[in-house]
Amino acid sequence: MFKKNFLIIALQAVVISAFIMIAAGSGENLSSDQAYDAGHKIGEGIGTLMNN
Amino acid sequence: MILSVTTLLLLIGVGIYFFFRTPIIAFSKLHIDSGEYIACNTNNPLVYFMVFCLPDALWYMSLLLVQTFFIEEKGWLNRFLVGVAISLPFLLETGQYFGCVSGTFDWFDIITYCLTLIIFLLCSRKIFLLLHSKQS
Repeated sequence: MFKKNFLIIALQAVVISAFIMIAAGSGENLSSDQAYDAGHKIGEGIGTLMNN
Repeated sequence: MILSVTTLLLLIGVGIYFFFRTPIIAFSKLHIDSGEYIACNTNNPLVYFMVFCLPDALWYMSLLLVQTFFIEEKGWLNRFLVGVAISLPFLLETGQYFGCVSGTFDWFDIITYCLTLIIFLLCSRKIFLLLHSKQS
């Protein structure tokens, strides 16, 4: 009984981990240009806030 | 049967990412070049749903379908893990909202997950009947 419960928990842990990995892997891989643009926009936003 | 459907749903989701989405982390880690992805008019709500919401809905439906194997098993740890699995997308979105998890928080994702959960709950009786008919 204990062995069965342990197996179920282990299997469930594997399933949840796999789905978390799929979710993490579906994140957008920004290109260097996009990363530069994003950084530039954040910089502009901070600059605007400081000026105000 | 359920595992086949789960795999199929995930493959459809991967296909949408492969053809219609900008390069994603998983593909770059696996050194898969999806090349030029198909640009589509995301101003159209239906297209937006197909490209951005449907993969999330398919991913969550797969997760819920897998949970049907565990949901009737006893033990508090198993129940806890089933609860974690069902609330997983909401936990990830909350993490994204507070910046603890990489990715962008999106209300459309939350709505998509809620709709998927509702559809699953509406169909759950049939799914359990299917599962038990296969077991007996």
